[in-house]
Amino acid sequence: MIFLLDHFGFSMCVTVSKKLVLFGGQTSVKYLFTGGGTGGHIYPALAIADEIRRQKPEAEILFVGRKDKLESRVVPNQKFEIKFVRSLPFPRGWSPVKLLFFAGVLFMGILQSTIILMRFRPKMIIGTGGYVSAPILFAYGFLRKIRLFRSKVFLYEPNACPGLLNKVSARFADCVGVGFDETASWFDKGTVAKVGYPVRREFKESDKIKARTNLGIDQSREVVLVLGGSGGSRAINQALFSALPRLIKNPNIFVFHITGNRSDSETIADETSLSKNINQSNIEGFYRQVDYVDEMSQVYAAADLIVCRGGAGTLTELGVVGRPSIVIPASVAADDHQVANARQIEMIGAGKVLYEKARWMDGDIEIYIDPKRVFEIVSDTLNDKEELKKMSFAALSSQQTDNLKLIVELLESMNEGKSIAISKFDPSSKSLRVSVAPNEILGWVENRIEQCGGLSQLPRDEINYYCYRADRMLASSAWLEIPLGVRNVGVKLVGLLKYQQHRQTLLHVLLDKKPVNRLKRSLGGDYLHNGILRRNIIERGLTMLGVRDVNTQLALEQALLEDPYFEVRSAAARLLGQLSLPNAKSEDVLMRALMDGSAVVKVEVLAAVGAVAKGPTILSTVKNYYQHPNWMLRMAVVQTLETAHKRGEIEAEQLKYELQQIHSISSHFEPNFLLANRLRDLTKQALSAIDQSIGE
Amino acid sequence: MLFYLGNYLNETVEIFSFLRLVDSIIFRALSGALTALVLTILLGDRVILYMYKIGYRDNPRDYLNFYSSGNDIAKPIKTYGGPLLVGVIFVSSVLWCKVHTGFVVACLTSFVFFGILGWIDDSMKVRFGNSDKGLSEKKKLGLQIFYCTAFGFIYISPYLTPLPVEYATLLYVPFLKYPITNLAWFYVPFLAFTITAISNSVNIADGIDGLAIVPVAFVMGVMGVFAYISSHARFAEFLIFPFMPGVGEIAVICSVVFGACLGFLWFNSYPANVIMGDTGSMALGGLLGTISVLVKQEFLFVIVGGVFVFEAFSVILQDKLGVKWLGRRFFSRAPVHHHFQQRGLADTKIVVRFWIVAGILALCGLATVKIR
Repeated sequence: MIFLLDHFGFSMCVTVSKKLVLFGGQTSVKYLFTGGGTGGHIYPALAIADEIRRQKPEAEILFVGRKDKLESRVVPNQKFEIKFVRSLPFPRGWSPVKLLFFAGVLFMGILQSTIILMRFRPKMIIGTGGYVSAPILFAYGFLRKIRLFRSKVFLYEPNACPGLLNKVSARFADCVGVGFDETASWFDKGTVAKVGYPVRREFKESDKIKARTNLGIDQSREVVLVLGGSGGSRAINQALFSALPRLIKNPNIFVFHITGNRSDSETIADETSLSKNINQSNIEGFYRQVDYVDEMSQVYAAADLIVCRGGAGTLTELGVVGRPSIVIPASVAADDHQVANARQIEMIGAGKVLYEKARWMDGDIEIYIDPKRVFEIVSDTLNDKEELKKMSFAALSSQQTDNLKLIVELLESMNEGKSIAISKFDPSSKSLRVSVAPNEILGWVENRIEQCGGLSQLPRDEINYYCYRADRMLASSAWLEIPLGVRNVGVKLVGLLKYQQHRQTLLHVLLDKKPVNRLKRSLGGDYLHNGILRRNIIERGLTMLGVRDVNTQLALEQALLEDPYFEVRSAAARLLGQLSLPNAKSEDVLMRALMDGSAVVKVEVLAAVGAVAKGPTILSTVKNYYQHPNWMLRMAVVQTLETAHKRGEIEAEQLKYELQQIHSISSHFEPNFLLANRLRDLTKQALSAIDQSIGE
Repeated sequence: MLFYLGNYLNETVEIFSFLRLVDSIIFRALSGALTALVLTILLGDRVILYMYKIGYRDNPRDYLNFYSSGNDIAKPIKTYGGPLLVGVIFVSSVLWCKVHTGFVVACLTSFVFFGILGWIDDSMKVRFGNSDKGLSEKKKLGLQIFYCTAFGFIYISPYLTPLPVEYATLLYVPFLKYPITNLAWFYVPFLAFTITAISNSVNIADGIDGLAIVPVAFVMGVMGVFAYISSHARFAEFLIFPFMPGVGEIAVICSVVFGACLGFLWFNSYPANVIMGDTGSMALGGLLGTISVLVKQEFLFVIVGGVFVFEAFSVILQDKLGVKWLGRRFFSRAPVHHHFQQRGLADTKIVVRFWIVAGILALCGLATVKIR
């Protein structure tokens, strides 16, 4: 088989090269760009192509993309030739039908790409990631394997965490350019080079006054640009529509809104929500809405403040133009890289971070952007002219290196067959970007709190970040991901951070009664927000928040009486006892809870009775348990009497009388290791003595 | 070894003619048990001291937050005594069995393999100083299933199997005289499942001092009786058992294990200064599984080893079904002995009650000899 392929390849090679000779061969260098799907993959390619065209007008440049994606519009606009191939993203999950379909489409794409490659015969292939570039890269890999075709391959990875395709195709790349230091670890050390994010020339050359004249915006206005990345962001659009009525009360403002790609139904929904929020005549002259802008550099330059997502591309472009930003990192982005980018921007003082929040909505927790916060943060920033200037300057000074020049030089040296000069990597940049896995975040936060000596000592932005993580995990649909639950961890994190805003959310989840499916119910499951989650809401969430208010009390009482899971009931009883909110109704609830079938719950209820109830009620309640066969209940009774005595509800004389009636046949004892105890104590003494002597 | 020596002396030297005793399975079984018991008790103290010295100490999980929550009590320190148990059983078996027979080779191979697996687990726990950092569940199960599958193929192949070929793939069930079905090739996965499950269930049950060792001894005793009956032509015919010549050697091994278990209990009784760890529990479990497969009493274990089945069942119910899938607990803690601890029963009480249940179950198992 291999022999046949080789043979076939050889004969093809001969015919093709004959053809080339017939047509007079080639003089100019040919570049093939592939990559796309979203702006983050197309714009780097466009920037590089543009720069090559500037430097070498004779170079032939061809783009390869997918017909229905962003590149089909953007690339022809920039006067580049584009050809289309078929491609699909790699299916998540192991559905065999999807896999088969994917394989079929990919195969067709590879065939198309082979034809394109054989006809165009590029000297250099530049892949900027995204599944759109898969057919070309695989076709090249195949052609190289059968020695039919050889060219130089440069891959560019814009994101901090590389995509699947770039990881796979890096093996036949001559060089991999990365935007971030920590991305380098994914690739072979010999081929990887840090190049940063390439930004088109016109961004650097853009001018505010000229741009505003071109766009027809009044020079004296304060222009706020709102955009949600190339794919658009529904959350940002929605938040803006709600915040708009308040924003345009400022007579000096102008909001430029780029909605991004929307489906027809989304457009209609947006329009109705816009017209519902605001009178159309009011926003005339204050607000402009467009689906898409080709000349992004113009729009950036015209703006005073930009509300955007945290993609590396957008933020680098903003740095080059030198504009302050309010970054709303997308919570779905893989590996939290948008959050890392946003925090970086906040740290250098070029912008502010606005995190998405979670809220209880229609029976579940969802992520949303708070319009009120958007309004506040935008108007605050606009009002502070001094700070605005400072932020612009910080943004500008963060992007001094010319990434584009670096990449083009790199391509040039690859083209001439020189060895690539690899730039050094800075490992220290990793500490800020670290994104903690869901199963490690609890330990991480606990450690940080301990290091800083208390929650109040933790830096504000760090707490905000952890709160944001809690929000995200609360909104996650998976309650459990091995080894720790995701929503479960969110609940624990809320408690750990004393995140009071979410108390109401927790109460909602605690009392939500959406049942699970019948199969699970028949095996002992109950509600969708399952028992362990509900127990943790009480034990780890509400207990840590520790607020005594009527809402919490009512929710706990309801949980104590109605919850089908015994651990939830016992936790509710324990917390009720701890909060000790005495009123007549809570006594009544505890009495009813004593009817509970589970001994574990009864024990906790008895303890709560001791902490809450009046003396006579306590005595009449505990009397029934003096001779109870379960020693744990008798133990609980003893504790109840003790607490009541401490509270002054029972006199010493009475206590003595009551205690005599409790029967105490031993059934439980605990081990005692004399030698081990003594050894441990002495060792402790010795250690402290050593510590002291060192201290002196 | 002693069997061969006795046989040789009996044939060559007139004075030693009484040594034809070694032909008797009962004699060898009793001497084996005695050897194992005495060896364990004699070596016990030294091995425990040695294990303590080289740092093979147990680092138990604090299930009840007992030692960390204000109780002014030091953690008990126990050493890993698994190697003692495995070593004594191996040596006594080699001394008193006909080592050349297939049954003995199969049993001892399984025993040593599972023992080594447990030893790796134990040493990892010691090295990392953490009970959660042993062999991962996947690796452990993978190795066990790999071994058991290999053993299964040997078991059903007509040339290598120690059993009479016609019985090898039949499936016997307690209370029924005749095999219910012929599993043919499906016997391999069935065998792999049986041995792996039994081995792990013993491992799970080994949680409180003396909890696992006595039920193991009981099960071994019952299995020994069944092996003896199967090996005896007349008993087998009378009681309608599959007659498998040579399987009597397994009775000797069972008896040796019984003796070693009693010897181990000498030190392992509450409060223990030695525990068998994964080395002991997995080796014993693997041996138990292998024996129940070789004696053709796979389902008898469900009755006799009911304690182990219950423990394993509680873990699966709690962890896989409850916590991981439904998001709730069925027991306060799993395995179920921790549930009882949590509910305030003293360790000793739980252990003795488990023994009583195990004893009753063993008697029920013995009853199936005649009730069928």
